[in-house]
Amino acid sequence: MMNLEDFITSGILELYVLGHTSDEEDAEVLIMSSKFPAEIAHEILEIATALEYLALKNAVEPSAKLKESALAKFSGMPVNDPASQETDVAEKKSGAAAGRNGAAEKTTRPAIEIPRLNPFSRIEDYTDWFGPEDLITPEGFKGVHLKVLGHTAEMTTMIICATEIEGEIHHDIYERLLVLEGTCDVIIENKVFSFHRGDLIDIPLHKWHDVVIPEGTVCKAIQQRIPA
Amino acid sequence: MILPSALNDVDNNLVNLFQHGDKEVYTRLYNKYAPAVLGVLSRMVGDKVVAEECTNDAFCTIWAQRKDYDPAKERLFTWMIKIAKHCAACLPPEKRNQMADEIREEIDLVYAMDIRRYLQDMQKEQGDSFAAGLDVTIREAIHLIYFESYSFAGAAEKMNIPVDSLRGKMIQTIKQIKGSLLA
Repeated sequence: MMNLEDFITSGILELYVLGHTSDEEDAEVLIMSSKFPAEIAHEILEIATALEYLALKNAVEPSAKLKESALAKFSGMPVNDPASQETDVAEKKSGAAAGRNGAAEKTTRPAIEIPRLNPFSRIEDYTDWFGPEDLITPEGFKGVHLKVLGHTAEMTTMIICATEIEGEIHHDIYERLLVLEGTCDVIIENKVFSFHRGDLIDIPLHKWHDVVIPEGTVCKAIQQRIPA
Repeated sequence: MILPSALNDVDNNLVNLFQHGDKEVYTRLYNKYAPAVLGVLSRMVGDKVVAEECTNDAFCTIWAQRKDYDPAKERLFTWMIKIAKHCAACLPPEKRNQMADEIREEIDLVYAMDIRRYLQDMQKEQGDSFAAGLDVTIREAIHLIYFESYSFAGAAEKMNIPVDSLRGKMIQTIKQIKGSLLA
C-alpha cells in the first residue's frame, strides 16, 4: 500500500478526474479514499474545481445560431419523467408564475397558441408567455442569452437578450423580432434601420444582415424563427 | 470581464432539478456551461465549427443521461466534460485540426494553467539545469510536446511508447515539477 503523499504525487487523481484511470486504478483510488477519506476527497475537489475554473475562464461564447438550435432542440427532447411528462416549456414557466402571483389563467396558454409576429404585433400579445424575470441579465453581461418560450413545427419563439450579434444570412428561415428593451440598428445591404421598443424587425431571406447594438447596452427582444 | 463562478453547494438544488428533468434549469446550465465546454472542445479539436456541433451533441447526451450522473462521485462539470470529450473522441480524424491536442488541453485543465507557457518560462529562468533531474524519456517528450509543438500522439509514436502511458507519465512529471500540494 502506498502512502498518501506518494499516491497524490503519482498524478493518479488527475487521471481519475479526467476519466482515464483503469479499473485497477479506480480500485486503488477507492481503497485510498476509504483510508484517507477527507484528504482524497479534498484533492479530487481541488482538481475538479481548478479544471472548472480554467474552463470557465477560457470559455468561448457559442454563436447565437448554435445556442438557438440547442435550445430549440432541448424543448423538443423527451423528459420521460411521469411527474413532468405533460409539461412543455411554456406551461412550466406559466405554472411557476401562477405559483408566485396566483394568476391562474396563465397556466392555460400552451406554446402552440403563441401568435406569429406580424407588423401589428404588440408586446402585450406575448406577456402570457414571459415575465419580467426573463429579461433580467447579470451585471456586466456580454454575449447572447436565449430562452425558448415555445417550439412547434411551425416556428420557434424565444426571448433574446444580447450585447452583440454576429451578422448572418438566412436562406431557409424567416426571422422576426419584436424589440422589448434597448435599441439596435440592423444593416441590410448598406441601409441602416433603427429599432426601438415595440418595433418589429422582419429579416429578409437571402440577404446578409448585421446587427449593431450600442456599446454598453443590452437589446432584448422576442424572436421568432419560421421555416420558409 | 466578470468571471462566472463555479457551481457551488447552493446550486445543488439546480442539479437536483436538472436530474428530475426540469428543462428551464437545463437551459440555465446550458447558458452557464456551454461556453466553457465549447472552449475546451475548440482547443481539443482545433476547429470552432466542429467544436460547436460537438458541444450541442454533448448537451443532448448530457440531457439523455442526466439520471446517470452521481453527485456524490463527482462535480457536475467534471461529468459534463467527460461526455463532451467522448463526443470529440468520436469525431472522424479528418475533422480535427492536426495542430490541436486533446491531451495537452486535458493536462492544462487539471493543473488549471497553460503548461506550455509555464515550462517555457521555467526553461528561460533555469537554462541548462531545466528538467535536469528528469529521466531521459520524459525530458525528450517534454521537449517534443511543449517546445516543438508535437502532439502527444505524434511524440508517443516517434518515441515508440503507448500514448496512454505517456499521458500518465507526463501528468505525474508535471505534478512533481509543480511540487506536491502536501510538500
